[in-house]
Amino acid sequence: LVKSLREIDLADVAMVGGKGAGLGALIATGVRVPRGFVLTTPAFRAAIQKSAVGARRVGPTPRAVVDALASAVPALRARSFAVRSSANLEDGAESSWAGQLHTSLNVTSVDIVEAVRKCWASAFAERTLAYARDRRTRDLLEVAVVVQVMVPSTVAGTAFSLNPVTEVSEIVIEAVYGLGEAAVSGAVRPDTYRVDKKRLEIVEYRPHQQERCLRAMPAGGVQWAVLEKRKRSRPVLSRTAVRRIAASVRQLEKAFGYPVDVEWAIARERIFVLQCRPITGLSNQPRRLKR
Amino acid sequence: MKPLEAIRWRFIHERKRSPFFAFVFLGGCSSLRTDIGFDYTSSPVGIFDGNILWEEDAWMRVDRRIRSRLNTNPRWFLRAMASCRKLLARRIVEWSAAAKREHSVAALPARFEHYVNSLLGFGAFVSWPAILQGPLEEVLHNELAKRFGDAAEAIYHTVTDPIDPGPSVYERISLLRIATGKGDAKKRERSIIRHSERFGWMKNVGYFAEWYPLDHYRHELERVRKDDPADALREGIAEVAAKRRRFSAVLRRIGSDIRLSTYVRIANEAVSFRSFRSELYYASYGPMRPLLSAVANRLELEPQDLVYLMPDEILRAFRTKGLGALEKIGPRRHSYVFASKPGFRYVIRAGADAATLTATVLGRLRSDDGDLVVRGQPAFKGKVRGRVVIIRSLDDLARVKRGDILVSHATNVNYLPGLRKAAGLVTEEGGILCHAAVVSRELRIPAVIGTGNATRALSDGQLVDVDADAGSVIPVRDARKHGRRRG
Repeated sequence: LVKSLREIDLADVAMVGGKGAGLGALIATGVRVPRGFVLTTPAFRAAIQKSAVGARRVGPTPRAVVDALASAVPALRARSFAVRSSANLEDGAESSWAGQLHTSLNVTSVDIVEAVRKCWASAFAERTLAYARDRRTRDLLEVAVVVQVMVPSTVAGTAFSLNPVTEVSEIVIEAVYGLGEAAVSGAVRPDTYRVDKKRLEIVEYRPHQQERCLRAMPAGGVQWAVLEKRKRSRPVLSRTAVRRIAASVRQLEKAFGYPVDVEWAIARERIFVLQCRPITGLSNQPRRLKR
Repeated sequence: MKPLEAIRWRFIHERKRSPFFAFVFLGGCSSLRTDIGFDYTSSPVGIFDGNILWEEDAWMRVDRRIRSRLNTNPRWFLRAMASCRKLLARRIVEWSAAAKREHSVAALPARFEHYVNSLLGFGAFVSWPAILQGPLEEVLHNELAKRFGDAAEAIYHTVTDPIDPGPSVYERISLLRIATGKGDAKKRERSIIRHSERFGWMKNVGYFAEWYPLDHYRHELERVRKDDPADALREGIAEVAAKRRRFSAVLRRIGSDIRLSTYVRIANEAVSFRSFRSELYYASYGPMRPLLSAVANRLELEPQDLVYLMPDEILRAFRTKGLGALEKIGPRRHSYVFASKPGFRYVIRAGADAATLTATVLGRLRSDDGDLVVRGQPAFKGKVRGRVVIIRSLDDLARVKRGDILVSHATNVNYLPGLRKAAGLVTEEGGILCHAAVVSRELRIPAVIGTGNATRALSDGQLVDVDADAGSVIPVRDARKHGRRRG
């Protein structure tokens, strides 16, 4: 039921979902990815029930799943975790399914089972069903769950290997203080760096004074906090950090062979790649969603 | 970046000169304001000098003030110019001394601040003659014509020919003196070194702080010595003396008319002052050169690039070890807009932003309204017109009709049903890689992200043009005239 991220490759999609398979491929490229494992789709299948009219819903958590988690989680030797959904239809080059399914950040080990159940349940949420209808998805949605060591980042953000607005081949990095979720969700305006892909030099730096940031709380969960005054007017990233992130993004684009959309985080001076997927919504791709 | 709506557009400047020049010029105008006591903050922007946008009404007011003072107290200008000269000369000496001392890294920010403050004081010297010239020439012309009739034109030319010949003539005479001077090669070498120290800055065109090298003057000296330096020297000195004589002759002809003689003095002083102050102004970069290159070194920039940065940006760059400084310079070299708020606060926009901002400001001026500027980053380009629906909670999503402009703080997956109907998207927060931006591209709807003020600046039901090519949202003035383009 449980598969370590290190043992996964892209052929495992049906079992570990798009995100899980992506992380496996990501580890294979040599970038630093937080340790973790995937609770596979057989666990999801074991947990769901069909109602009388044929609608699916999450039933009681199977004993085998709880046992599997009970041995896999302590093996990660960490205090808190990120629990993310990884659907079998997710993160393909065709659709981002961005944020359709549930994610819990900074989950302590006692709350893991609850977080896993939330991921499963999100497969049956109204908005997910609507999204699937839009995309005329006939395949059955199945949700695996990725459990990774939480990266308590000081700065984090997103990076694209292609400017999605101008479609110029350059690296765009958006960075915020605190957890990267603040940048991904668009809840704050980030510092933006445009980086030349060949020379890895900053072409444009667009600062923004961030006032609040998302923090991982010691007792679990995340919370908005007021950013210290002295940090506000400073660039989020140093020149070196920008170069290092850009180099990783370039490396990933080369490894995958398509323009990539990367989530990254920096903790204790080390850069972690949290996610890497194809950029969607580019002009040479078919329109994703029905208007 | 300060919120745009708080800014009173006083001063916009594109390309041609450095933003630093704009800053100093503005400083000059501020000090002039204090001196003459005029107020130029209360009218919209007018156009001055082709590349400076300036409040036209205010300009007229300055002009009126100067005219009235020329009428009531013309001696004021003479006194003011004399004290300006003194101040300039004193500062230059001060800087030269400071530049000779070693600049410790720790002292750099403080020293730099002092330097900037001095320059701001000098702003007065940049703006003065430009403003004084128009009214003065007119008054002088009239007075001379009244008194001298047909001879007035010739007299006008005489009195506006500066009796102070200026540094380039001094430099020439100094060189000729060395050439004709007695003494051996050794003594001449010492003189030429002194000479180059005194006049080397004259190559300093613009702000590039380049000096003529010593070799240049050695070469010049050799060239001058081949001709007849003694003759040239006599001629040069005679020329200067002749100017003085002609000027005194005019003053004698004017005789006891104190008003007219004061005008003549002001005119002459203003003309020589103009070359004096601009030459000394550039000269000030000479002594400051070691400091400027120390600053540039520390920020890993070329010294001439410093003028593209504002003083406080440089001070901030000291703290951040130069990060962000270089990125600002590139687009500014191409074009920029400088806008000031009362009290020396300002914003600078460069590159494409500058063009948009100019268009926005001019557009606002044309429509003569007080709307807030809504500007952000384009996430998916395109233009669309529609009615604003502000989403404050998920319940508001039901109000979105096909063709509306969805305006919100940020978006999340729950917004999708509303976004699918919307023709455009405007958010307050986020960047071009965030959820709202990604979805707008997937849906192919024009989107302006991270405006900071959209939910406050726009109101529900308002008809707006979303221009995601430029990253701006502009209210449609007369809704009856324009039908809805989409929806």
